[in-house]
Formats: sequence, C-alpha cells, structure tokens
Amino acid sequence: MKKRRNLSGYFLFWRRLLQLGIVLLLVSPAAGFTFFRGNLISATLFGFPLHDPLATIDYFLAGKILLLSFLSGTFLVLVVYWIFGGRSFCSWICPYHLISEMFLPLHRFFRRPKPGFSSSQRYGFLGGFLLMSLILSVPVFESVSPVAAASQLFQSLAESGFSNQSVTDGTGLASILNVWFSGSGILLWFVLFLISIEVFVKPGWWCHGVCPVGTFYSLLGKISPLKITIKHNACDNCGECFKVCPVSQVLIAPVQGTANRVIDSICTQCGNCIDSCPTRALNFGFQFNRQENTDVISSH
Amino acid sequence: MDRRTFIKEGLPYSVAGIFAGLTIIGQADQSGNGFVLRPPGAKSEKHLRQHCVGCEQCIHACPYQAIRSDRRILSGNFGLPELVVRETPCYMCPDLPCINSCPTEALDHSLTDAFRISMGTAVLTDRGACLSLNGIRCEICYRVCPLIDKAIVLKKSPYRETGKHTVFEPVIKAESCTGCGICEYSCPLDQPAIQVLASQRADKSAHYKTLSEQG
Repeated sequence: MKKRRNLSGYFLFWRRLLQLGIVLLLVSPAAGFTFFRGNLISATLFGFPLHDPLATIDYFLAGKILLLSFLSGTFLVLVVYWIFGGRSFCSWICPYHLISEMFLPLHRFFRRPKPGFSSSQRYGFLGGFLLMSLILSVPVFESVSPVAAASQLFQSLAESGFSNQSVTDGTGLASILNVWFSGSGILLWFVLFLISIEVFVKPGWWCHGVCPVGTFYSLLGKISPLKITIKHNACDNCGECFKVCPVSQVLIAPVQGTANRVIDSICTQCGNCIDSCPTRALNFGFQFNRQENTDVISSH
Repeated sequence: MDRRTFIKEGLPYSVAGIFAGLTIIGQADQSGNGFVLRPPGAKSEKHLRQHCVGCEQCIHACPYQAIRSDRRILSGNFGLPELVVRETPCYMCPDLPCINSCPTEALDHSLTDAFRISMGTAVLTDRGACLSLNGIRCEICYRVCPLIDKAIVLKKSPYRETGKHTVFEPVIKAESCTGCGICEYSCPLDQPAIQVLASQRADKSAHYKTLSEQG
C-alpha cells in the first residue's frame, strides 16, 4: 500500500518566508537601508525600477499621460508574474493578504460556509475602478488600496519602532488620540474594517471577490505556463485539498478528472493543496503546450 | 430574536461599523488651515493628485525624513507626500534628492536650484504674539532663514512703548520665500507666530495684517 504522508507545510514555509521578506523589504528604508525605496506600486530595487502594471494603467487613465519611463519597469514585473502564474502576487507577496490570512482561524471559529467567487463580479469591479479613474481624473483604486494601506501600516509600525521618538511622544490624551484617530491609526481601522467583513461575512471577500489587483493578475494568469497539475492515477478523492484551498472552486475540475491542471485563473498558486495532498497527486508544473490539456479531457 | 442570534448575526455588523466609523472620523483635517505643504517641485494639488503614484520614493530619499505620507485613506489624497514643518522643515538640499527620486513628473524635474523651490510662503500670522514686535530682540526666524536678508529682512522702527528703543520686525519677501518652514520650526513660541501658508493666500495678505483681520 502506498504511504500516505503529505508535505506538512513545505510550500507554506517558503511562502511565509517570502511574505516576511517582503514586509522587511517594505520597512527597510525606515531602518536606514538604501537598497530599496518605494512600495508595491512603484519602487527602486538595487537601482532597477519596478512598477505595478495595474497602477500604470490606472495613472494612464487618470492623468491621460502615458508614463513612458514606467514601461520598462512594468514589463519586468509583468514577465515575472507571467512566469509565476499571475495571482501568485496575492498569496506570496501582498501584505494585505498576509494580514487577511492571519485572521483565518477566527473565520473557522465563526464557521461560515466556504464561499464561491464569481468572475463577472470581479471583472465588474476592475472595470468599475478603471472607469472611475478615467471619469474623475484621479487614480481611484490607488487612493483606497488596502494593499498600499497594509504596506503603509507595516511601515508606520516600523517607523515608530526604529525611531527614538516613540508613538506616545508628547503628553496626555491629545497625543494618543492624534495617533489612533488621525495619523496612521486610520490605516489600522480601515484594514480591520475589511478584515471584519472577511471574518464575519465572507472569507476572502476583498482578496478573491473585489480586489482589482488580484483580478488583473488573474487575467495575466490565464496565459501563464505555471499551473497546479494533478496526477489522476494518484488522486484518491480524499478532499483534503478542498479544506485548505481559499478558492476551492478551482479544484473541482481537476479532482473530478475533467482537467489535468487547475485552469481557473482565480487560483493564487499558494500551494496549500500541494502541502495537504496525502498521495502527492498535486504539484506545480510548467505547461507551455495548451493542446495537451484537451487531449487528456478527450481520453477520459 | 434571542441573544444567541443577536450575537451571531448583529455583532459582526456593529464591529465592522465601528471600524468604518473610525476610518471616516480620521479623515478630518488636522492642520486646521486647510493647507497641506507638499514637497519641493509639486506644482498644484490637482497636478500632484494626477501625477503622484504614491510610491513614497521621495519620502525614503529625504535625508531629514521631513516628508511623510498622507494617511487619510478615503480623502482622495491617500499616499500623497506632505510636510509638517513644525515637526521637521525642509532643509533645501542643494541636490534635491526628493525630486531626483520621483519616477513621474509629479515633482518638477526641471527644478534644479533649491532656492527656486516654492512650496508656500511664510506669513507672520500672529503679530500680537511675535516677540520681535513686542520689543524683544528674538529675530530667530530671520537668523535661521536659508535666504537671510532675501526672504526675511528686518525692518527697524521706533518702539513707541518706551520711546527710545527700536523694534526689529521680521518682514517676509514673498517672491524669495521658498516655504521651507525653517522659520516656523524655529519659532520659540508654543504656537508659532510665523507660519507657512499657500502662496496664493499669502500674496494677498501683504504680511502686515493678521489672519483674523483678513477675515
């Protein structure tokens, strides 16, 4: 009999390590390092410019000016996420997703049912945000972005930690109120507001249901070669992967045997399913040939 | 409705509502004069909002950490750089690292001379409190000004109270003032008597009136 033993958090370990690394990268300027400047919208890493593609489009629509200097940095980022499967940004990089994941145990406590996510709703939000930017001439999404809010939250925490003047600089109630109810406190309340919806109403409501960054990368993920593949002869339909997947709808087709990989690009490539699989039927795989997939379906 | 249903169904929405309310309360303008100082090279609020991508590279480039990020997330100015000169003023670096780090045209790259910065204009807003106008030789704002005798000059007049002393009044020349805020930062009073205001507002005031007189 085949030994049933899963990977016990191999990909989770590397994912947490990268997420922690990104947070450290974001707070590195506050600690006095100079190799990184900026945030996830636009940054300079070791002199290389990096720009978020969606933000570039948003600013193009708002300012009606094409930022030519942005194109090289945008292209570099696009290539990286094309190779690594689109929404890998969400689960491996995004600081808001990290906070959201930290609150998942609370969601299990409230025993909300596992949600489904509709693609048309996400495309609607992406189009709506871009249309608003075009009409209002203000990059609308960038001015309410929880991705930026979460990274600024980490940065402001780090600033108060690294600088000698503490958060409670000054005396009395006024300074405390100033920090918690104006300054960086707003970011905390805003992130907690979204988290409370995710915990109480629908887990992953923002990340998988609304966030235009995730939707944009999922469009890129449609043409990405990196997918989660399944070996049908190894899979014994135990259902462990469904329990850990944040968007479990993507696993229906491969586990039922109608596809040899995860096709739905809402998949965040987090690797939870690979970690959980007791028969190791799932794995990451590069597939450039799209024809191969239809062959498998017809042979079933 | 029993208590269990209430806690399970109602509580989540009130928790979310409290957080949403706190986010909205925090949008209030803290400075009070409706004017936020933007970094060197910023042309206008509208231009900045359209061109600034909120990447914080100017914030990280500033050697004095004078620039910080606007954190009022729903105000439409989220992520824009701002200065609070009473905490840290702009020291007008000759190489302008903030402008050089800007990846877009949000900060004007054609500005290469730090003395041509125009973020705002200093105004002697509280003439009643100004120590120099009360016959004391304070003159700190004049001494610390990087454009001493150009942006701030001392106007001498007889001190009427005693009849034999001279008042050394700091007078700001709006055309030279960069709005760096070193004067506001250095003012020894609890509430600074000299403040950086938007250039358009300062031009009308002619620097000889208090803000309350302007209405």
